[in-house]
Amino acid sequence: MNRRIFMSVHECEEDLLGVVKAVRQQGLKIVDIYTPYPVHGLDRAAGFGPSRLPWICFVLGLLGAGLKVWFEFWTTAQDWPINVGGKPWDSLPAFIPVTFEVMVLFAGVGTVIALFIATPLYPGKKAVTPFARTTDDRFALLLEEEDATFDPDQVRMLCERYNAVRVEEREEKY
Amino acid sequence: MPHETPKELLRLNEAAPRLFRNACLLGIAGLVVSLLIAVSVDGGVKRAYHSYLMNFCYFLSLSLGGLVFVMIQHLSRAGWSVVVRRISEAVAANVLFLVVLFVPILFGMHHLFPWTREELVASDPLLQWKQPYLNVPFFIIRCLIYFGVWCGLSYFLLRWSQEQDDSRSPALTLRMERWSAPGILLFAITVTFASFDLLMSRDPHWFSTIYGVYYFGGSFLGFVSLLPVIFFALRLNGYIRRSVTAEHFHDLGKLMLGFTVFWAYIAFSQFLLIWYADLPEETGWYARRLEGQWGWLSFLLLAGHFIIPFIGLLFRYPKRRLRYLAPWGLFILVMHWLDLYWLSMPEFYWGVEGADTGVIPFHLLDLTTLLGIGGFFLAGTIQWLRDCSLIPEGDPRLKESLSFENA
Repeated sequence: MNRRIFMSVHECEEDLLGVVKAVRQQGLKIVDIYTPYPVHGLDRAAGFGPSRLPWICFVLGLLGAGLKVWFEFWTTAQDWPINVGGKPWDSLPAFIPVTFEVMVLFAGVGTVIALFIATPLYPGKKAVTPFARTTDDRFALLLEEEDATFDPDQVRMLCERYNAVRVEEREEKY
Repeated sequence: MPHETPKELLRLNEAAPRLFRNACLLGIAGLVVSLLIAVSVDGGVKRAYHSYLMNFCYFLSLSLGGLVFVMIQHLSRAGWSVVVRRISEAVAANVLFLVVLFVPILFGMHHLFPWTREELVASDPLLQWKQPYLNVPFFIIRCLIYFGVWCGLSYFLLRWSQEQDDSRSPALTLRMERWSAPGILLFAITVTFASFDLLMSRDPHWFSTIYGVYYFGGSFLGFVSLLPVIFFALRLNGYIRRSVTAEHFHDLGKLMLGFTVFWAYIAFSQFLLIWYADLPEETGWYARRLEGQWGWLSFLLLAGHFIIPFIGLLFRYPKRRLRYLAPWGLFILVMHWLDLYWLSMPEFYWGVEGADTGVIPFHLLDLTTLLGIGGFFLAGTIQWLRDCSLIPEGDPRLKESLSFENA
């Protein structure tokens, strides 16, 4: 399926923040925003909700800790009980440090992998930039032309009010 | 460099004398009632001293937590924390009043510290061997050093900061920063040894090198939990409604969560090594704390000092809302009190023949001395804030702090 994308390029972050707020007031749909560096306050201006990654981190941490406790209990107390210093086989305090480490491992590595899947972004992925200079000194805002009510001329005028240096429309597969 | 501060009540002004008087009355009432109970009950004096020391160490920990908090802010050149720093400075400077409240402890040392009792030392080779360190004159000298360091640091950090309210001189910021560097080193050493002397030596046979870190962890946690409670009380009465925002509470909440975990990490580090090595000279301390009613208190601490606040503070929502963060602060303060009770009180039976050591020796005196010292602690805080703004108005980073946002 194809969709029409409207791109507006700006020279500084204040203009970008301004135009993002303005298009949101107009009810236009933001596809993505490309900046050379993280812009403070942009996620709030663009109306992106809070990240869902902490939840993934939380669940993975619980999973890692749970699996590890079970595994240690199974290895040292059930499958092959070993007497260590006369302690009971299922000595929970001895399991805690490793459980903690595995919890951190699951939560940390798992969250990074989840980020790669969700963004999608992974090592070796070919860079996708709608406009090459967003990696250097330009800020690009991408809007979706959802239906017939989208008036490119009007949006162009809106963007130019925030000093857009380049405005273009293109078709994109997705 | 005048900064634009939002219009709000930033000075205690005429409310201060009334608050000060009430807090002092609470303190006097608490101590007088404690004294009356102590002299009228059989064995009450000894019991009162044990409660007094424990509650003294509780409020001392809150002040010391404030002191290290202030020094960390200077050393890291923190911008976010400027608006919460004045109250921290005042809480830290309470050490000066605590020196006065420390004096009674010196008169009750034979009740509190077994190594001061000659009949016990005479029959105990280990205590004799420790005499070069654990003796009364050296103990007093050490305490003078501890309190000297804490009083000096906290007094000047507060005074220079107050001076800056008028002079607006950035040079004072640099001066406080320079003194915080040796200050934090001295703090680490003095707090470690003070915790050994005031609490650990109550069981003079036992030793743990991580004990000082444990006391410090509880202190810092106690202090960052106290701040939201103070701000809640101030807001309720119309003070500082705008300068300190959800962003600042969010960061205080993060510190509360972080140090809840830190406390658990240190507590478990201490327990694990002793449990694993299983050496008789080390296990006795834990054996006493896992026996009878003490065992229940130990598990209450595991749940209430770690698991429950950890889950409660894990999420963003309660950290950004003072009406949730302040109750959590109060909860942690109660747990910190129980933690010090657990650290200190099992040694009530040290050297007592045939005592039922599994029973928690709870007594009304624990609460009356809490109110007594707490009243004076509150009065001291108000006294330091009587003639100055509740936020450091002349700090060059004030503007950064007022507009601070969590990214």
